[in-house]
Amino acid sequence: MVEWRPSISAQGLQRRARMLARARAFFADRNVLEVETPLLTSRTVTDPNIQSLAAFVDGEARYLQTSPEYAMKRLLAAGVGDIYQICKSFRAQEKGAVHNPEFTLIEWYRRDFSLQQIMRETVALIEELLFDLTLSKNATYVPYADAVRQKFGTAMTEMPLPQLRAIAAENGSVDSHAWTPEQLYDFIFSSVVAPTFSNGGLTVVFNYPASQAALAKLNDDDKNVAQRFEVFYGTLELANGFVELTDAEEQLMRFEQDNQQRLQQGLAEVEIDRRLISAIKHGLPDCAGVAGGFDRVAMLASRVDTISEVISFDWESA
Amino acid sequence: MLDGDPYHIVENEFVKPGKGQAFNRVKVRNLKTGRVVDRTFKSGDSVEAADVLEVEMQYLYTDGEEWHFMNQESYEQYAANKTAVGDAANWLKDQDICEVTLYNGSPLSVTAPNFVELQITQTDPGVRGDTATGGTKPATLETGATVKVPLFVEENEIIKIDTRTGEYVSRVKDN
Repeated sequence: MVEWRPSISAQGLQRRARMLARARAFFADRNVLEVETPLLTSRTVTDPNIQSLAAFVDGEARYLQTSPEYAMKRLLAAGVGDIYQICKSFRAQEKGAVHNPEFTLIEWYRRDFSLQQIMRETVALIEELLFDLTLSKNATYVPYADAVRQKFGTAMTEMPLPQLRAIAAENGSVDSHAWTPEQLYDFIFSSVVAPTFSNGGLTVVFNYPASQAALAKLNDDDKNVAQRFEVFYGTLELANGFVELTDAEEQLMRFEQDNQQRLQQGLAEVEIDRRLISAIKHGLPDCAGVAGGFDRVAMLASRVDTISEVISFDWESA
Repeated sequence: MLDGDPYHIVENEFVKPGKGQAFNRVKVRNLKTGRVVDRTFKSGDSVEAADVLEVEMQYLYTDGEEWHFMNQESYEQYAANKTAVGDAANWLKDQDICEVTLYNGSPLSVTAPNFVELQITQTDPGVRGDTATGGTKPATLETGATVKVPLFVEENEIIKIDTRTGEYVSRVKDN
């Protein structure tokens, strides 16, 4: 007989439903408005590390959103105030024990929030969603460079390229002589640094290198780092957030750089979302935003190791 | 193929930061040495496929230097050296069917059947009454290998052996 059963347990479904209710109550308490934005959009992300899925509607390509970020920023520019959304997002080629190409994001934006404030709110939300599970340790906040220093004594941005390559090779990288510094950072951080993070509590890493700013504002005092953070539980990444870039020129330049990088990597160029650029130009209010992996938090709450166990039908059975 | 050696992929794990490069962390076994190591590839990178083939063959004989096998479909004969045969040499008896891994057309490794039946050529007589203690004694087999057998097992008997552990399983009742 063909396997038809769900990949989640009945108990798991109940936990998800309770988590969704808790998330909505969390934001209602803080006067953050729930919104919905289109899943099928005419433009998509330029980020060379994120590949979109396209659907053809009446001969026209539409993209399944990789996150609701662009549409939500257009709402912010229109002056709606603090907003959140719990929605499906889609990323091609991301499939594994903790990745499903279709997944649930919980994304929110807070006006005038500092990096400190948004990091603390993210930890508060995650702890709220874990309800019956109490973490044995309070969250640890550590700058990216310090997390690396604790392992190697030196920050990666201070290491010469041959040293980065040597560390990568010692840790099993194949053909890393051809990797860019950013690729080496990502490998060393996820394979060597993140395994040093506690399994008893959350680790919040902030002040990422400027080269990995994505849509984050750079630090006012140190332009070498970006006001970006990530929340980890052990090596499991739970959320990514920024104090948002509000400079339209800078944003356009980063999108163009993304496209150049895409071409160098043999990927197709992505048409830049001019509506987003116009919205930022009109005036994106000072704000901070977070994309949280709802399924990942559900994994932690359920104490399971695979994403399949927290979604009703995983990629194989959908 | 990695660093000139053929490898078998045991496990493949997808690793990707939300914003950042995707990697595949794989556990691979070196088909020459049997060693398992962790390697990480940038997702999308490719490697040369190894020309490796696993074929069931019949063991014919050994001249002490090489072990000779025959592909039962093509009747083609292959000679494997001591390194390729490895531990399987302890268990091979004429006409046994085993799995030979060919790399670029030559035997790279030989896997003996999971269970083999071999005759004991030499073992000291067991002492009556000692069976209750679960004691064992060494026994030499027709292939020259030595295994531990229970005290009640006698010379010339045929016994069944698990080649994966090299342990005695049972006596085989002869006709």
